[in-house]
Amino acid sequence: MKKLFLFGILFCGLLVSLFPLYLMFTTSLKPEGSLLTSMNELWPKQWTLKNYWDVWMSGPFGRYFLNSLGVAFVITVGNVFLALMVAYAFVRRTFVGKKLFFGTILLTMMMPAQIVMVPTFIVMKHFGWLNTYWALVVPSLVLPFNVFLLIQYLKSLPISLEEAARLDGASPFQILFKIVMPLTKPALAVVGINTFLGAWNTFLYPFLLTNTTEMRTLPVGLALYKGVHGVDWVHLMAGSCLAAGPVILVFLVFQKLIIAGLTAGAVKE
Amino acid sequence: MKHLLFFFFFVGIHSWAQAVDLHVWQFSIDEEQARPLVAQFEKKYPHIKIHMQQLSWDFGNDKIITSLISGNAPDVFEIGSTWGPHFSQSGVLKEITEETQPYRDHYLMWEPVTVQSKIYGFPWLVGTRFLFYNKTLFQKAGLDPNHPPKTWAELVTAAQKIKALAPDTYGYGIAVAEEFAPWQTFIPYLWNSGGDVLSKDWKTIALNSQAARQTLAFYQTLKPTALLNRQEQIDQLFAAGKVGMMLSGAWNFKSIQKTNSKLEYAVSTVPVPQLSQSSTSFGGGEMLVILNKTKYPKEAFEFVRFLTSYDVELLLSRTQRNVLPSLKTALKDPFFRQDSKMKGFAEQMLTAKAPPAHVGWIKMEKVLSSLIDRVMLQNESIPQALEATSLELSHILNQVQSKGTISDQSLTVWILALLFVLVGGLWFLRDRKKPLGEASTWILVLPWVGLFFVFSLYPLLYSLVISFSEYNVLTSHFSFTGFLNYFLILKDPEFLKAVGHTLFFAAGTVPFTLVISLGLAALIHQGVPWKSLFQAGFFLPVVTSIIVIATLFTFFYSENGFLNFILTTLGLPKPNPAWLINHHWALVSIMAMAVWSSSGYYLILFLAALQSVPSSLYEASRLDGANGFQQFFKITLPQLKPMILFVVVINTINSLQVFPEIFTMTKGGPARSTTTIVYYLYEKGFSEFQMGSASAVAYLLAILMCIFAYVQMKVLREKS
Repeated sequence: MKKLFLFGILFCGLLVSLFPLYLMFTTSLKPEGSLLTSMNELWPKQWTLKNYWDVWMSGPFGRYFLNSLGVAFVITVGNVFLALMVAYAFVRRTFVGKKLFFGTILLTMMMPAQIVMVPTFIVMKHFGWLNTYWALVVPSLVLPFNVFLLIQYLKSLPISLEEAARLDGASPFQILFKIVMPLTKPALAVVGINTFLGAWNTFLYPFLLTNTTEMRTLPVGLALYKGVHGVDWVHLMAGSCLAAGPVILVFLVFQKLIIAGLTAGAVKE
Repeated sequence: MKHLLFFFFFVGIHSWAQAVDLHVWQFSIDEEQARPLVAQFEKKYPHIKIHMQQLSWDFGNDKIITSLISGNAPDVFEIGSTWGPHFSQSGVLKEITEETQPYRDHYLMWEPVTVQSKIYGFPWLVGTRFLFYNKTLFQKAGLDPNHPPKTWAELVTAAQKIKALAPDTYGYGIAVAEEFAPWQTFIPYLWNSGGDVLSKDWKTIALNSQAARQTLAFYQTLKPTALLNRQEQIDQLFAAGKVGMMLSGAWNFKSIQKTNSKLEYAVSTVPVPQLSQSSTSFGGGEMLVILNKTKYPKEAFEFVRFLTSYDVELLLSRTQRNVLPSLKTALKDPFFRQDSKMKGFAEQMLTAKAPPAHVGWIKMEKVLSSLIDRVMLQNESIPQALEATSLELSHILNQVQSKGTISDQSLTVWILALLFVLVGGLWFLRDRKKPLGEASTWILVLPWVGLFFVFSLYPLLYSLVISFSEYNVLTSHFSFTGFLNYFLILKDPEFLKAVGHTLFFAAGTVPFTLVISLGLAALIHQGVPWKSLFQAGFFLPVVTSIIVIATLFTFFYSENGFLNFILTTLGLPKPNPAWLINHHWALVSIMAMAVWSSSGYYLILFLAALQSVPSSLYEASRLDGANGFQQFFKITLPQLKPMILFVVVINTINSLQVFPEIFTMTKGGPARSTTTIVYYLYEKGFSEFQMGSASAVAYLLAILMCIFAYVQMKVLREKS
């Protein structure tokens, strides 16, 4: 009975959570002309896949897709390793300037993207990286949020395993990648999901830093469906549904890692 | 003579042999249509290679501005006429007074790119506002469908008759609660009644006049019959046949064709107070401008001329049907005689006029739009609203200009010097007993910190330096002003309001998000059937980009949107005007969306943290007979304390930075009720070009966040 009640609460929550997305999905299936009269229809009377086809054919959409995928993948992998390394050093080591570094990391999290936009652009120009993959990838390899999150998580891990490994003669890097990393899986999964998601959906920087069609990412391509006097609803929604696919996939993969952490968590005292 | 000939010969050879790369950024032509045009031009000028890029309307101007600051702007680009005065006076555009001399009389709309009779751009595709009316509704209401209202009195009568037809039918649509449309559809009436915003010499504000009072009173008499909403909504309802009349633009031709091609409607000129007067309207459009620093001014102008030629302008106007050629002879092309709607559009265009090309206009237009909100939505009295608006306008008019310029090289020097002092000082003051750290530590730290220094610290220091200066990004006017920016901002009532809105936003979203995400995570963790289904389901809202989500919710919250649909079905009351255009509800609506779209994200963080809570604790307590609630408060909460702290801090930081939602959904309106700190900052930096003030706002915001984070850490840590 109680189980059923809990299940009911969760189920209602799920409906609220999914309803707008359901709207997004059904809108993407409606024929363009019928939109006005049918915006409030729960189930489209007429439906079509034409919008998806239009979006896919409207430009080098496959290219946008691959660009987004490649950029997001490299950023995600980079962040997982770099952030783990630096967070580990913050938690387990002492070094000069530790507090200062940490303070600066916090400060960058607090700077709105709009304000660092111009200087970032200037840096990219000096490096000659405008309209290259370097500009899309490198600055995002060091997202402060991830370090902050991992520091938080690593602090809660017991130090005893690492000490035992050190006594067995393991090198610092062996300890980090063989002992600590598996224990950090749930947090790393969150880092992975978070980073991939951010990189996949980010619009402002790719839009500013790229100038040719070949370098565009998905959100930059999709933004062209918003005109100055209105939105091309059906195509924007179809494009967004297409764009959501890979993220859902990545989530499902990383989700398993979060659960897998369950057994690793048992090590905790 | 012979030498001279040689000279010309060489110059000729030189310019011929050199391949010219011309970069062009524009909004108006989509890439498919651009390709054949570019090919046509390149065929005519084989030595010129055109690199054309289409910009999105979202943040398109920001891209132009950013590239201008860093000296990476294209040779030719498109700007909207509202931006004309700013760009023309900034010195970044090439003056083309002489080149355009032969064309001046043949084209419309030079005003936005004219500064003291010097010309800085070429009008390209233009447009205006005119009257749309629904013939079917006219017929039903007993009005002559071939006789649109010509005077204000006729308009009011027609609106009343149409309103009387049905409760969900409106006589007239009045645009409110956004940046541009409200003033653009109001000013034609103001002009037609003899009023204006600025005096002839632009030295004083002329708004508070008999004409303005009369026009606003006319608006008030329309109100009972009118649909008050944003232009996009009015356009949609007009297309659906629910609105009798509206002032709007030619983009409707295409969208009505797409969404409801059976609609019987026609267009006419803007009604005037008395029949004897001629009707003028608001005109504007897209300007093509050439970068001052371009290497190929001649070729750039050649391309501008190509895009503004009879054939190209007409082609764009015919295919897009939402713009008109700026070339007067093209406006008289047979095409515009055949098509009755395009004909009405072209007719109004010939008498349309541009708003004053004053640099302050870009700020004034927002103030002017909020005048409509004050009178129509907040029911302020006309004299009071006019008084307040005039005062705000004269503040803008009196703002001073700064002197001196700076290049980004010298800025870099300043920043490096600052960095040197900082690092040197810290090195000097460091505790000499402490070791530097092991080599392996530095291998772990350096890759991240190195990249971080270059890509995050430099921008951070850049904005710090800038924040102590007055820096106009367009003109590069620069002068150090010490703490002046900080001082002025703290005194600005608009900023204090923005702080209020932001704090309200954070105070409303952070606790709700915390309770919802933590509660759901705990429920899921306790073990329910289809666990991964729930996990994925709650996470899904996070998957789609916030810009798309916000676009979707803009519809969801609209007058005829889903939320009102549900409320009506359940027989519940709904706010009037609808959510996002109601200054009591707009911010709350955005907050509700923010909670919805971010809870799933924090839920995942909690789920990950819950994995590290030893299950033995739960088993032991179950043996002790604890129920689910007791377990939650005795075990889950204490164990999750670090993660709760983390989520609260992060969520607070994110909430205090709320921007894309505001940008997409309300643009800070209605009546500035959703202007948050970052939106305020964005306006300072990217529509007023005051990067110094914008940076100061960012640092003030950072200080605010630090205080919050500190307090939260203190409070939440002490509890444990």
